[in-house]
Amino acid sequence: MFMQKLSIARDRVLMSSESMSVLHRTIPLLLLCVGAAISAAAEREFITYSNRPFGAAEKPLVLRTFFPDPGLGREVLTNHGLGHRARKYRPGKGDVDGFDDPIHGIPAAIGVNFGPALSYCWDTTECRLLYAWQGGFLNMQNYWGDPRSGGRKRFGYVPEIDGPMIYLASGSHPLAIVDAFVEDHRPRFRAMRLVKNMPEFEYELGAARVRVRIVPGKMPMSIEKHYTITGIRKADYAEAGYKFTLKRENEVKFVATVQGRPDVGSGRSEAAPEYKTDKPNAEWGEALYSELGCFACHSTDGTRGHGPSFLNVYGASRKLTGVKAPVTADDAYLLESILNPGAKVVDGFPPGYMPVYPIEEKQARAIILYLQTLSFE
Amino acid sequence: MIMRFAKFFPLALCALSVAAAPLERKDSYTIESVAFPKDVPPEVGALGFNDAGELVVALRRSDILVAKPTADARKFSWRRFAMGLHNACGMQVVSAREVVVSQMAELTRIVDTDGDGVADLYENLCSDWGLSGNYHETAHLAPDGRGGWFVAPGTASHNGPVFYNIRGEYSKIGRRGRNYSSASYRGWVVHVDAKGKMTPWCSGFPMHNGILLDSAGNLWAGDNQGDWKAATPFYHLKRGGFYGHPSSLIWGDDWPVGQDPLLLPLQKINEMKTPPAVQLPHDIMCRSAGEPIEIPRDSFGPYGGQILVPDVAGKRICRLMLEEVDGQWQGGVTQFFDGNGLRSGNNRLCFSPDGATLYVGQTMRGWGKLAEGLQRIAWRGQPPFDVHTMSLTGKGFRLKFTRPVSMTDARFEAQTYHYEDTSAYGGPKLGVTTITPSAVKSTAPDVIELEIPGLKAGGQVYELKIDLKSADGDELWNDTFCYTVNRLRAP
Repeated sequence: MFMQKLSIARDRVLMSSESMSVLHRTIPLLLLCVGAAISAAAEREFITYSNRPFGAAEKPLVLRTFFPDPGLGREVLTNHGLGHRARKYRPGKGDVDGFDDPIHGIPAAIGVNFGPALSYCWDTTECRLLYAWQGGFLNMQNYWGDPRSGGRKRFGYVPEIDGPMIYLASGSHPLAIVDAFVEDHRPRFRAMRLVKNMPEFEYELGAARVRVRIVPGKMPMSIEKHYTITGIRKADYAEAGYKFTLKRENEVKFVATVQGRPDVGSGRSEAAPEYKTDKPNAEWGEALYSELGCFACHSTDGTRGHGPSFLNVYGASRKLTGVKAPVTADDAYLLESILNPGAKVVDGFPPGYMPVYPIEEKQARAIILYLQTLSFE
Repeated sequence: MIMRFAKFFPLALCALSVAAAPLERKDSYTIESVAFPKDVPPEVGALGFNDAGELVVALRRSDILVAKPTADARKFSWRRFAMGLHNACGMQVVSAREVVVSQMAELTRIVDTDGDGVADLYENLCSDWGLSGNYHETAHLAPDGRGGWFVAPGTASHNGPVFYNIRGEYSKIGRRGRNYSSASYRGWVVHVDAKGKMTPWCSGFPMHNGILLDSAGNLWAGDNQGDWKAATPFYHLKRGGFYGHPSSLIWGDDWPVGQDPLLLPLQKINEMKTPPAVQLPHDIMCRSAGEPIEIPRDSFGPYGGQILVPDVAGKRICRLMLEEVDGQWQGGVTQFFDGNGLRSGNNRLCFSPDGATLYVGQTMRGWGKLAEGLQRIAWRGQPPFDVHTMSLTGKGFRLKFTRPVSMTDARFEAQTYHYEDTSAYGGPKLGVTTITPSAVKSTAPDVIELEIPGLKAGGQVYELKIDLKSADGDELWNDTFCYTVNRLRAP
């Protein structure tokens, strides 16, 4: 049952009936945001030599730079010019044998990071959300080079995405303005505003002005697009199977929620195993590990992430910040750590980093059963 | 090179002299380094002062920082005004609440609309030029004085690629060569009016990393020594002009479709192009021109009205002595500051509101060996002994000094040469000839006139080395002066 609901939610824009009406909803950015990285916010006031700049849920970081193209279709990048291979050039020799091919990248996008819960890339040429990911933001080493020497290793200057992808745009732009009196339907980026610190993008589409504020949604891996549109006669909104038509000339406001999913675009997103949800079980726990996005911070192979790895964590001895004697990661300890992440923090990891997730105790117990399967010592 | 430091004079000799003790460098100008917050990379893309007397610095990774300058250069109290900018390399500071920057992708107006000290509106004023994804396509700007801007979108470099998907139109022909113009209007100066409408203005630059509209309304740009630039040039810009680097020509309205500008005969390119007002001979004067600035009339020593050009690839700031001869701009160049604590990477210049301190922003990240930071040069009130102006006469050159000169043991050496811009990177001095002034006379206490036999026009450079003292015994600050003769003055 749970799985069924999720599979519908995947790839789909959820529109609540109330959000269709012309009303202004302020969505409290709860749950994913609470407690996330507040303590470190002050230190992040300036961009430093660190090649991993980072924002926070209540004060997102905005960064314009070149962005990777993780496999966007040409129908998404329809307003871009097409680069082409060129004859190789060598200083002192001029044209030489061979070609230089272009590389994949997005030249004029804007990146936004809300801490570990969400990062996204919004493009000023297509005026749309291109992709989103979790975990870290960007690794700028390819562009900014070694912090002290400036040295770089790549030919290109495209930073790397620092976490698993949860959303990748496909198809044509979700918002199509139908206006017979306007020939040029290319979007034109006009402005970015910070509304109570939250980035809002404004663009022209025909005679319409579109404002969209993109923030983390209430559910893990969900993204809310808060639209305010003026000056339209008729518009079609269509995204991932959902479709409706707007017909009004005055201001239109609505919220579209895009549900992300794990491992988008990596080809690793296979069907999850069957499981039951009447009582906690390891299969359910494994599914939750993916669905809730735990993987963004907790690896299952021992790799250090933003949080401790899940490999061999069950039953292990843990050294906690501010506590002398080590504790054992038993059921009680793990249950508290999942439901109340700030209570105890493992030494060496930042306090207040993990948000509180909206899950029930039996879901947490399922995750613990899954953790047992990852303990081999 | 003559030492620019004041000589140590024995006390006894000093006491006997009627003149004051010789000037030391610090009596004229002092330099110090300004500190940024810990761990902030001080890569200065652009500089300016706002109407609250605060220094505004656009750093190339993202942030615009603001601080009120303090007497202690290490104790500026920095705060962040704006964030998220992609390699902002040009900035007009409009007020304490508004700046306009040229970042990689666009010309952006940044406003603090609610007055809390932090910008909350980033408005795209214009993005009608292309962006290929190449790291080299930075842009400088100069306000046009009428609410608009001149913007200088640089070309791409063969040291980096382009993207499969670019912003703007792509040209295969423009993609060829060392510095290339594969995306629209790369290598041009464009004009953007107050409403954001773009008009292509002039072309032919690989890296015009510094443009200036001076107080008389003249538009100037330096460029980088490189392909089609034998030395570092300094240009007087006119609408419709072409300044020598061919790749950008393909974006001209009347450029024939499919014609490769790199295949034009050199003679044809030379006929089409406007030569530099002044050549800044390579290594002798400059290696890569940064942002030019006009020296205030009365607040920064004796050189008011002249233009400074910083060297991005050297520890120096050049000083230009420009004049219009027969309708053509030309003039001399020497050093204003050379070493003496100045770092390399001299990219951006701005004066403090009182005009007595010059802030020098430095960066080389991505272009060469790191040289990042911010320094300031303060005027200390005593004019150095220097050639104030080198100008052309009907028969040679006139040197106006900052103080009376002594003709005793005065020595002048000169050589002349020219440059030829080709597709090669940089070019040698050609036809180097040593010349001896046929007459040297002092026509006023602070003026010397030289007669040079056989003066030639058409971009001929005259490099003059001078060894003499002031009437009160000081050494000259600079001994080398290079004048580019485009036109001769009637005798």
